[in-house]
Amino acid sequence: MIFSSSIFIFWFLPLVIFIYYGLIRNRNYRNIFLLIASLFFYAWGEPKFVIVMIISILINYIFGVLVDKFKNHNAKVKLILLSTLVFNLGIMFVFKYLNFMIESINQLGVNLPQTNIILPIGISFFTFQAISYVIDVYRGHGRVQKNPLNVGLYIAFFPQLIAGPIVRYETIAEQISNRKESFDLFSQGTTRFIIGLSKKVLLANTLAILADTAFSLPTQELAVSFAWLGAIAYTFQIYFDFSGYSDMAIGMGKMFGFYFDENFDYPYISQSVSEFWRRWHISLGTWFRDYVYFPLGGSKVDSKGRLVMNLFVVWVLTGVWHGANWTFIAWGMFYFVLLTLEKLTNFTKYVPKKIKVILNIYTLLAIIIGWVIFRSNSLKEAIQYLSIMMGIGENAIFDSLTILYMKENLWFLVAGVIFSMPTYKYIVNKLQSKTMLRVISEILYVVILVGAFIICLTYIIKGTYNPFIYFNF
Amino acid sequence: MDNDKKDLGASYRHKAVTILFVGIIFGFGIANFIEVHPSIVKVIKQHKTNDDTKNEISSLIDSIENIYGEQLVGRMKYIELNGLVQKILQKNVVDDSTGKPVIRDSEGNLHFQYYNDKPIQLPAYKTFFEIVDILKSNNSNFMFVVHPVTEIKGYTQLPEGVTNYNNKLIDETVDLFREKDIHVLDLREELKNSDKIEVKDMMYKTDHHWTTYAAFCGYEITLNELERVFGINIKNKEIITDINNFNQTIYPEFFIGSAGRRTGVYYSGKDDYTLITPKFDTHYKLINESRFSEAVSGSFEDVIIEKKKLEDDYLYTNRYEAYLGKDYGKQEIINEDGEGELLVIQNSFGLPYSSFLSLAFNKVTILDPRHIEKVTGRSTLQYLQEHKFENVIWIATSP
Repeated sequence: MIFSSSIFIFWFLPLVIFIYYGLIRNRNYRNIFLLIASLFFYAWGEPKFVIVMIISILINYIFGVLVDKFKNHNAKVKLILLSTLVFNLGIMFVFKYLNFMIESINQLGVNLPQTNIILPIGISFFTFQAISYVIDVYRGHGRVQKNPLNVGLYIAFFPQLIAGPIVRYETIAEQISNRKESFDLFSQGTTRFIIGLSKKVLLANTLAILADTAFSLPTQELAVSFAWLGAIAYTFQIYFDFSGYSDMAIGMGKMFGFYFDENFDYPYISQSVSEFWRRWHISLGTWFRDYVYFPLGGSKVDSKGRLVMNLFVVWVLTGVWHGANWTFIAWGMFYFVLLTLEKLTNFTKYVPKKIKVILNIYTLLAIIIGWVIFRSNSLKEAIQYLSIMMGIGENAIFDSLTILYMKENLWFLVAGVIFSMPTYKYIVNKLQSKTMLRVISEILYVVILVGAFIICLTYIIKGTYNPFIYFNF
Repeated sequence: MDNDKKDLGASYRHKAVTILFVGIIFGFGIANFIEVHPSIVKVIKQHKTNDDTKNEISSLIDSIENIYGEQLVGRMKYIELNGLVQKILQKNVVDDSTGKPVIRDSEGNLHFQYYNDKPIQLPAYKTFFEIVDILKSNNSNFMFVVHPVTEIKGYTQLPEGVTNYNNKLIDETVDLFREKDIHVLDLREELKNSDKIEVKDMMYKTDHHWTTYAAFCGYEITLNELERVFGINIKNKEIITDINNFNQTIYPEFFIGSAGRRTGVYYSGKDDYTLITPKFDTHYKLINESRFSEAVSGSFEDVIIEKKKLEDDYLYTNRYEAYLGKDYGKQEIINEDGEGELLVIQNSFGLPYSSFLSLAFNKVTILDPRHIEKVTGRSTLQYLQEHKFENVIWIATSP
C-alpha cells in the first residue's frame, strides 16, 4: 500500500485514526493496534514478506534483551553485536544482493544459477532500524524493550516503513511508552502530510514522466537539450518524491504522537557536496556517521590515508545500500571522490563571498551528474547519457521534444525551483511584522493547502502516473 | 521540538486545515465504504471459493484496489476537476494511467497517443491471413475497409514534439494487404477527398470514433466500391444513400467520447451528436442472443437504435453506442427490403456503419472478433471455417 493511493487515504488512514483515537485509550493497546495496522499495511503490498519482518522483529528483540543482559561482559556483548550484524546484514544480503553477486560473478565466466528471490520493499529501512535498536540499547541510548510488540512497533511502524526516514531507536525509545498525543500535534501532522502528498503527487509524479521519457529514449534519439531537461527533471523528481514521503511519514508520526527527526533540509541550496549530504536523507547520513564512520574513527584519525579509507568504506556502503547495481556503487564512489577532495583541500572555503554562487553551481552540477548515474539502468547507459549531456557525439543539440516537455511542464519546473528553496520560510519572515498581511497569509495557507490536497486527490483518483522509486532500496 | 509550537498563528491554521482534512477523508471514506462495500464483499466471497489461495492473495488485493480506484464516489467529478487543472495549466498532453496520454491538437480535438513505432508484427496477422485464405477458397468477395482515425493526415496539427505512430502503422498494414492482393478500401483517404463531408466533421473532438455522418458517408462509399469491384447490385441504392431521405436529429453539446471521459468535460468540451435514421419505411429484425432472448422486429429505428443511450441524462453516457447498443460478439440484422447477404467483421467503428449497410442487404451478420468467443464459443477463424458468406467486409485499422 502506498500513501498516494485512494485505498490508503480513504480507507486505511481514517480507519486507523478512528480506531486509535475513538476506540482505544490505553497506551499499550494503542501500541499493539499500531503494530497490527503496520503489519497489515506491509502485508497488503508484500503478503509473503511480512513473515520476514516478523522474524526480524523477534530475533532483534532477543538480541536487544541479550545485549542489555550482558552489557558488562565485553566478550559476550561483542559476540551478540556481531550476531546482530550478521543476522540483519545477512537478511539484506540474501534478499537484496545475492542475485546481484551471482550475476557479477557470472560475468567473470562462471555459470552460477540465479535464485528466484524477490526484494521485499523497505528491507533496507527496517533492517537499519533493527540494527539501530540493538546498538542503541548497547550504548545506553534507549531502554531495552521488555515487550517484543514495542520492538515490533519501532521497526514496523507504517509511516516510515517503506521509504524512511530511518528512525533511530534513541529518537523514539521514550516515545513508544511515554508520548502525548494532542490535537495541536495531530494538526501539525496533517498539514505536514498534505505538504508531503502534494510534493509527491503534484511535483514528483509529474516530473517523473519527463525524466522517464528522457532516460528511456534510445541514445541516438536523445538531444543534448532533452538530456539536460531529463536530468534536471529527475533531480527534482527524486527530491520531491523522497522528501515528500519523509514529510508524510513525519506528519503521520505526529498524528499518532511521535516526533521523527527531519530527513531533508533544502539540499539543493548547498554550497558544497559535504553540505548537500548534511541536508539530504539526513537519517541515512547520520546512521552511517554514528554506526560506521565514527566507530571507524571518523575524521579524527592520525593519517589522511585512514580518513580516506573511512570515507571510502562509508561511501561504498552508502552506494550499495541504495540498490544492488554497479550504478549505485559508482554513485557512491563519485561522492567519495568529491567529499574526499573537499575534506582534503577545503577548497570551498577559499571562494570569496561575492562569488559563492559558483559553489552553488558546482554543487548542483555534481548532484545532477550523480543522479544521472543513480537513475541509469547500467554504467554504460550512465556514461552514454552523461556524454550526450556534455555534447560528446553526434546527437542533436536541440529538439522538438525539449520544446514540448518544457511547455507542458513549465509550471511544474518553476514550482520545483521555488519549493526546493526555503521560499515559504522567507515569505513568513518578511511578513512577520505586517499583521494584516500575516492574517491574509494565514487564510491563504489554509486555502492553498486544502486546495492542494483536493487537487492531489483528483490526480490519485484519476489514476495518473504514480511510480514507486524505492523498490531498489 | 518544533518551531510550530511557538507560533500561535501556525496552530490555528494547522487546526483549520486539519478539520477540513479529517472531514474529507472521513466523509469520503464512509461514503466510499458504503459504495464499494458490496463489490468488495463479492470479490472476497469469490476468493474464498477459489482453492488456489497461494497466489490469489495478491490478486485479491489487486482486485480490491481496482474496485477502490474505479468505483469511488464522485470519481467523474474528480476527473473533471483534474481536467480543469490541466486546462488552467494549458496542458496539451494529459497523462493517463493507461499509458496512452490524451493529446489536444491545435483545433482542440482530442487524440490518444500511440507510442509504438515498431514495424507491424507479421505473427499477429497470421490468423487474419488464414481467414483470408478461407474466404478465398469459398470464393467470397472480401474487402478490408480502413476506417478513419482522429489524426487526419495533412489536417491535424498535433503539438510540436508529439509523434503519433497510428497512421504510420496503418499505412504499413494497408501496403502489406495490397501486396498480398487483398482489396483495401481506405476510408481515411476516401472521406478526406469526398465532397460530401468536410474534414473537420469526420471525427468527434472528444472521442476516437467517427461521427455518424462520416459513418454514413463511409457506408455510401463502401456500397459504390462493392458495386464497382465485385459487381454487386445494390437494390434502391439511390434512395438508401441519399441523405435527404434520412432524418437528421441533432443533439447539440450532447456527447462526451472516450478521450473526454478520461479528461472530464471542463477540459474536453462536448460534441454535438447527430442521429441519422431513414425517413422511408423499413422492416427489420434483429437477432442478438447476448441482448435479447428472442428476435426483435420493427422499423430501423425500433430495432437498431438503443434509445436509452439518447434519453439518459448522464453527461458521460456513451451516445456513440446508440447504434446497436454496444459491441457484441455476434448479431444478425434482417431487412425485408434488402437483397443479398453480407458479413461484417468489425470493431466499434462498425456500429453505425453496419447499421447503415443493413439498409442495402437482406441479411447482415456482424461479428466482433474481441467478443465472438463469449457468444459462439468459437473464434472468428473457427466460425468462418463452419459458415460460408458471399460478401465479407472487415472494418478496422489492423486485424
